[in-house]
Amino acid sequence: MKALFDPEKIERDLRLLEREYSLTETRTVLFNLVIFANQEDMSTIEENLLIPLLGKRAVRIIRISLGHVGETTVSVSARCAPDREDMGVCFQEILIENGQDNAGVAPGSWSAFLIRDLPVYVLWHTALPEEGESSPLAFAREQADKFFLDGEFFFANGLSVKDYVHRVRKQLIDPGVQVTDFAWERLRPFRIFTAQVFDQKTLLDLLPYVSSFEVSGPSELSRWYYTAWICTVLEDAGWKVRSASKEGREIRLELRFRDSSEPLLLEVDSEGMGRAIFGKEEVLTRPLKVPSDGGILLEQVDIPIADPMYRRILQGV
Amino acid sequence: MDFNPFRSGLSASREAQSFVFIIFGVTGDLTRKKLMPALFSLYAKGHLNRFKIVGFARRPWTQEFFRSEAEKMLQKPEWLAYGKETLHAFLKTLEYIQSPFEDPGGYRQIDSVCEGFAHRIYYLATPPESYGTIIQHLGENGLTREKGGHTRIVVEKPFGRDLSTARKLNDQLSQFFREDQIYRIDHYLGKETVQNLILLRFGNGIFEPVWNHRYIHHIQITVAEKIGVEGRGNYYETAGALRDMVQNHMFQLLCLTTMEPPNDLSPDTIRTEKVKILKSLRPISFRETSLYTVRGQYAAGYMDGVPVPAYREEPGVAPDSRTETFVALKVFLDTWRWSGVPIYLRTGKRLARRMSEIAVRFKAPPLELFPRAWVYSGQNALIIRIQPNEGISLIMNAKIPGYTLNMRPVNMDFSYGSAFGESPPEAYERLILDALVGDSTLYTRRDEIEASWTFITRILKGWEEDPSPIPQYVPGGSGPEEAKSLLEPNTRWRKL
Repeated sequence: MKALFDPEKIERDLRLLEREYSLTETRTVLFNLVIFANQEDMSTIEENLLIPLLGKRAVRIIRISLGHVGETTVSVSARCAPDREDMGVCFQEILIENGQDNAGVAPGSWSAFLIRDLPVYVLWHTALPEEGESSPLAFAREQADKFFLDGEFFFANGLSVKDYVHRVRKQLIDPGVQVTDFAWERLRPFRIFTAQVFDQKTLLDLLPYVSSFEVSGPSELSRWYYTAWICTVLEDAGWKVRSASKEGREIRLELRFRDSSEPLLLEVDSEGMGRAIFGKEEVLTRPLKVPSDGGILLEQVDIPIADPMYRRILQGV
Repeated sequence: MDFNPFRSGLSASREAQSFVFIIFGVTGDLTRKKLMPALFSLYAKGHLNRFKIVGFARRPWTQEFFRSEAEKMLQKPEWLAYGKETLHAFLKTLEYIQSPFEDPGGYRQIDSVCEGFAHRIYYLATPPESYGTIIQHLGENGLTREKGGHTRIVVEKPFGRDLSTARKLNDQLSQFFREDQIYRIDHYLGKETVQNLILLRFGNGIFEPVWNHRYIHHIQITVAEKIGVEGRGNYYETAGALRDMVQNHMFQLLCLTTMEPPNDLSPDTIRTEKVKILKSLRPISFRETSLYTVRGQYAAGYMDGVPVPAYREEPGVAPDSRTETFVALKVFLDTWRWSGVPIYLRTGKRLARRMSEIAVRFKAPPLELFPRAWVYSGQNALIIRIQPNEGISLIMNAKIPGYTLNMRPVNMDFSYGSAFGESPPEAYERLILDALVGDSTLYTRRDEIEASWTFITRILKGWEEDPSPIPQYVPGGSGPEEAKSLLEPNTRWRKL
């Protein structure tokens, strides 16, 4: 049987390519990033996630591109960008185009390329299997120190919020895998803003009197996450409140209090300024630094664990 | 309610809460170059919550003029990238109090500008001569008392010129502020690379067992600069390398390199360990200064092929100046761990290159298995590079390929920066945020300042008594030849 690749030759080629593309000394590779994605999504991943990482973190990237016709093929490449000290920060890239033989997703086809003793991050951007369904996810889960998902992707591909959350929980959270969902992380600045509003003593004292709240926002998943977060936080503090959500252009929270007709509004405008308005008074204005997906990835590859609040919220479902 | 439940799980974000930041001497260079950019950057990155920045200075500026000046300070592309709305929202937080520092009327306005904000920070960005007046007026006007929030004061270096002036300033401060309200800034500690020292030593288990007199032969700490006094001759004449670099920056490096592991990371635990080191410095009496210290002044010469004047020819410098632009010291720490280990410190201007490093030279193996002649400069060394190219190198001996057992030293290099190809935050950003959130780890405590000045003042006295000429050194070299006299036999200064 013909071998799919020669691991030694691939390592040799990577070293040569890295030397060729970096005019100066290169930085040490810090982690492995294994990407499982459909071939048509690879360019979006490249643009949104990998380019922001280039020149900032040296990484071995194993791309497993799904949905190719014919046999599985393996190729290598490297690219480097100088950092502030003019040292080359390189991507060592191995592209596995998984063909109809399905050899590319087999553990033996990609695990040999992982650099031992470095963290393994898996970016899962293809179908999320149901419980009990056979999938390469099972082996990826074993290898991964952390999984990256984008809930919006699955949602856009027809999975309901309920099914998505259920599958993430069963396939990843319950088996103890660290998970970062970009959709959750995108909300972080607004969650911080929410907390900042209640750093003001007068508003904090009103918190026990919250009777209901309504969340608006453009995506159903982000509304669900934000609502679940507020409910969890308030329940931990001992209060159960009614919640509702509706579609809106930007994320927005309206809190209503018992014994008060004036709501507290938290919103973010199109310029990225967060505003909190209580009655007619603007009680807090500040810029919300909404990170790009690349920015989220850059931050998350330095943190070995995922947000414990995310885990709690999913476990609470 | 006291606890904000929405904060739970968001602890990773470091934010300063509802405060007023009052800058005395706001019209000066420090505000323009460091403070305003640092505050804006912290704001734009989301670290500042509800706040106001109040400038306090003599110049007859209006609030509008102050805001327009601040806008001019924030014109670099990286700041403009945050967008006009962010910049304008930040500028809206600026207010100005026009008042001489001696006028109580100016101070009386402070309470009203702070109304509605829980905490306040006073930042002394003035020449040190004004510190006493400002502290006195803040105290006498009841502005140092804490009314439902923190009141802190940040004091810039130089923190005194010797032990007595440092003590006097400390006394003035402690008359009106508790020690935990006082933040003495040494921007060197705000550098990521310096903070990395703590992580390198105490976040890795492999160094501790060999980090003592049994295995270490000596330590060299070097902070070299290529530049001269660059128009700051007037200031430098009152300072010199010992005051300007050793008393603060280099002693911080010394402390972080040699201190005992702290029991925890609380500011006071770390600072207590640092003070123990400073107090364990074996005193150099004024009669011994020539045995343990060497000073020098740069002569005229060439730097990068460009002719440069001698220190004594620089503007603002006396032609017969005895101010040192180079100093080397040999010190000992009288502790169980470091007993008998010489520690060499050297710093100077117009040296071969700009670099800061700590070199820990290990002893040779106890049994000489290999003839000494085979060992090319023998001992192992751990080099901690602070700048440039931050990282560590371990110098080890390895066999030269061949039929004999010849060996030579090889370097095992690691660059911290290798991990992170992006810019760390400016030292001032980190330090200001620390002061705002009440983390004083990277600030200097009273006893730390006084312990370092106790040691330094003895040397200054010795130098005053010593009429011998100050050695001159050639620009672009390693400093005066005389510095070699400090070294023990079989020891060399590391090449710059």
